[in-house]
Amino acid sequence: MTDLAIEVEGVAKAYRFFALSDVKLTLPCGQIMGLVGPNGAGKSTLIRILMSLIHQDQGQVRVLGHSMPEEQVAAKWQVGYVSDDMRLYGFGTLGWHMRFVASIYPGWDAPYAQTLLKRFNLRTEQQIRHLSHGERAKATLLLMLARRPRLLLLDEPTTGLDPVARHELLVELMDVLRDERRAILFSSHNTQDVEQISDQITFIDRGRIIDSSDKESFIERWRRLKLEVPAGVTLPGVAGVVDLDVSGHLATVTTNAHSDELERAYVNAGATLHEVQRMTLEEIFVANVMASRRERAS
Amino acid sequence: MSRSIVTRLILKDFYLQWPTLTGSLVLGFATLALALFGGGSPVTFYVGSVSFICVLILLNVLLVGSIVAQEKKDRVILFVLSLPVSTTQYALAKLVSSLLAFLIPFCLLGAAAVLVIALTPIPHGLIPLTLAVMMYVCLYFCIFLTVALAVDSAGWNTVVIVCGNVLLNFLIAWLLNRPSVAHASKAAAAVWAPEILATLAVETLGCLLALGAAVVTILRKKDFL
Repeated sequence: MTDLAIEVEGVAKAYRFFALSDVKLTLPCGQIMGLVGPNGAGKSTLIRILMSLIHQDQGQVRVLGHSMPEEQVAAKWQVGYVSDDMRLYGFGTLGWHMRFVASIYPGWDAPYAQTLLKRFNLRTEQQIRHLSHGERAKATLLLMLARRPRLLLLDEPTTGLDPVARHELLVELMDVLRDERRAILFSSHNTQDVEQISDQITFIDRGRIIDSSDKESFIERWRRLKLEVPAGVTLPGVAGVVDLDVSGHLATVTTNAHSDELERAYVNAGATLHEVQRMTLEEIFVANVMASRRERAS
Repeated sequence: MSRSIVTRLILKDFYLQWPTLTGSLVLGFATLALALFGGGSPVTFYVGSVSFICVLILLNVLLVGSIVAQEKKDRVILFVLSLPVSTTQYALAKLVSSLLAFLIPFCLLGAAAVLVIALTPIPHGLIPLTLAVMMYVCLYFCIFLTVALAVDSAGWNTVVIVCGNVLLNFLIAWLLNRPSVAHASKAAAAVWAPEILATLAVETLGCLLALGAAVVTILRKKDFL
């Protein structure tokens, strides 16, 4: 029995116009990880590799202790996967889908499925093609959750959902984590959703993991400093500064390693510290991506 | 456990295809009835037999289209592959379910077609020609299935459909222009002309090669997305 739900080491996958490179990631059981990245960053590719829907060109992937893709069938018994572009059979009813999935999974939790039906306001006799986008997303989630998987891989599950449906979905995900042996990897470009439910956050951009940490650490590490820089004063080079924007006598410093020492370094150099701003996850994400792109361009 | 899931995937495809299977059987029998009730009239026989071949081609295109191609296009494949099944098992299930879903109505309709010819004043010499044409549709199906499993391309699927339909006309024209076949098709009893036997042999070999290529493709292919 492993304590890690996901272990990814040195994974790469190359396409003609996109490459996922040197991905390293771990997710302990009992945690929710938000995988955040812009469109085309590689979130879906990474999750599909975790599900063995596509195979990595190199690197090691272990899911719930199973080596992927070799042991994908054994792993999939305990993994629930949902993505925003996943569809069900349009002419099948939700009830038929439930019976089909239940016939495969001995651990199908029928009472829980009934609870979810009521909570999501779905009916078993509804044909999938007659459901709205939000209802379809909830139906897919129901079919996945009632299997009682130990690991949930959710690829942009809230895309296109209205705020109420999104809230219902996120509440259900939080509920899953009451069992501390379970884990969730949740990809999104909506930082609000990720901030709401994640314990850990990983930023991905252009096929590379650019930062990964627990949520509190991100919030604590990142700050925006507003400084007044008198004429003749030069700001010192300080480690952890990801962006420096100078406009006249005013400077805005964005740092991913905020500390009292950092503030003192600027004050000792002659600058006046006007304000230290906390950053939202979205601001951190954007600053992180832009810094990574600048670094790669140089 | 895995084998039972593959069986469930096959049964699932059958459940979802029952309208196509039932519809093709009803239409197929209706076209044969047209030929039968015409009492051997050339016009009704011609209309019935052409419609019959059209039904078989429709069955071929609809089955491969919905069991293999449409599932990929609609992204339902993501739902199926989220189940405890490997990509190889998934593709093998697709191969088997498509084959069975095609062969069951194909064999029933083929047997019925032979019976219609045997029970009406239509010359029994048409039986070998009918079987040669039917085997061509079977070869067409096997190639279409292999291409659909091997490449995720609506373009290639269209190329196979167009070529398959055009070549059928060439085959019928070529066979009817063989003097031995033309002569044998008018005989009271079934006569197996060398060209018919050669055509059947090539078609059977083609079916086996196409299905072999499908199996090799499935075993070598790493993903089906």
